[in-house]
Amino acid sequence: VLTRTVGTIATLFLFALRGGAIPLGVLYNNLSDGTQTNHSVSAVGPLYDSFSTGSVVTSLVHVQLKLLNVGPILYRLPSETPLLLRAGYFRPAARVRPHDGGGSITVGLYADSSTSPGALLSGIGTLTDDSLTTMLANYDFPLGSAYPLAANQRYWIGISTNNGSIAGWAVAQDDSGFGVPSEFWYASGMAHPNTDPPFQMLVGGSSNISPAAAPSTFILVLVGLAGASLYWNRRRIGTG
Amino acid sequence: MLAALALALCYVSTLGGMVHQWWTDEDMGYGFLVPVVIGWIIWRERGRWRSLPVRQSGWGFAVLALGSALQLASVLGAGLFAGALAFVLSLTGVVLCLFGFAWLQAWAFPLLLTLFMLPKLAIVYNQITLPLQLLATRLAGGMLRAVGFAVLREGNILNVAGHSIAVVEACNGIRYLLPLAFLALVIAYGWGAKSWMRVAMLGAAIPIAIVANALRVAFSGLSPVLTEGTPHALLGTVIFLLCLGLLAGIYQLLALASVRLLTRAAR
Repeated sequence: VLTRTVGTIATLFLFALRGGAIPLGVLYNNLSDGTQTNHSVSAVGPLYDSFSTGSVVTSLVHVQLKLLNVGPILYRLPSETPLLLRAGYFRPAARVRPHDGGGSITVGLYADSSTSPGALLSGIGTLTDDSLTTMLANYDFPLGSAYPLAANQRYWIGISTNNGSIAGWAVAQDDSGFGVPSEFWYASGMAHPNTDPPFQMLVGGSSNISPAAAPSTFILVLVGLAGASLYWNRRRIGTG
Repeated sequence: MLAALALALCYVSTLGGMVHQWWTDEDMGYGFLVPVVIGWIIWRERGRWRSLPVRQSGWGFAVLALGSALQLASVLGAGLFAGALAFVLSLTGVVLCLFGFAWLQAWAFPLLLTLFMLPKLAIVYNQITLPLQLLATRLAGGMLRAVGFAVLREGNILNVAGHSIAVVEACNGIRYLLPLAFLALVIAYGWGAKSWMRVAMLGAAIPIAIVANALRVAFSGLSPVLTEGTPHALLGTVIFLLCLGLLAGIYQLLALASVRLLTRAAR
């Protein structure tokens, strides 16, 4: 029984060790938080979310955004449309524009300007509407070459569209997550602190400084229990 | 059994949130093992609590009402921690309602251990993280200097012989503190320690965890090999086992002190 127990614990230990890798160079991550709503890039965009680098000099390597297809959007008539022609658009079938995948969003890295997004520093990628689904999903935007970031500096990740994209950016339930508190998000031309829940994204960096994270608590307690049970067994056998 | 099922149904979203945090947050990964240990303790003590008289108590409804109010607050926005605390309170209420105070007393220790399943309280965690990181950096730097290494400390970064190491959020010592506190209680229980000895071991776990974490950071600073992958995890695990050995030593001292006090009192 003892051999089987130790074998099982050792297997679990190796399994936990395999999955216990520490994410290196993550600057901001709230992708695993719950989602309460989303904001349409066409309706209230461009949309931005800030992150900070802290004291470790690093480079931006990749960005992940939680996005979805927010569905048909109300068609906005050009202001110069003649009144007689406008009537036709109020038929229910004509009030919405089918999302034909023709739009797209552009993702970029922006400088900070007094806790608002400033100048575009680097384009990160584009995403066409036909890649989006109506279910929330994380979309990865790896950078072709790492972008160097200064230490103790705030930056913004922004998405924008100039062709009526149907993309929506997920909004978290709270401001929990790595690097999330004390940051800001931006929509409808206004910046808000992350205490009003921010957009959901992961900002991944790379660094030449090694983090010294402790092993997973699952491993530690597992090993501790295994050690204690071995000791108890040995003592019981010794006294028995 | 029906009461347990009803309780699980009422708190299904809270329990789901707790399991999600155990799965995604490595600080809380040990949460999966807490119910297993609680189950083992209840099973081990079955002879004792089965022999107790069942005297249902109306106070259980008051505790249940308190738990329900807290759960309502959690649903209205107080967050997962409030919901998880409400679950523990409701569990206590159910025990009181169905079995009475004698059973609650018999199950007090396993119920106390359920507190280790609770999610992190963000407002406290965010406040203590940075001071603990800086303390670990300072202590590790001091240890390395004490054995003759040239160390340059800049905030939470240590530079040892051209190799830099960042004492990031995951190095703040919480990953040693919570498991060590949990194991201190479980080991003390396993050895049949008295209540005051369990409290003393819990208290001893705090400084041990802080110093051991700094020692782990100091070792990591010595070589880049020790900062990543399996060597790093093994280093952290070995130091943790040394902490358990130290706790065992403290238990032996407490037991010795207890025997001497009893002997003196008998005279």
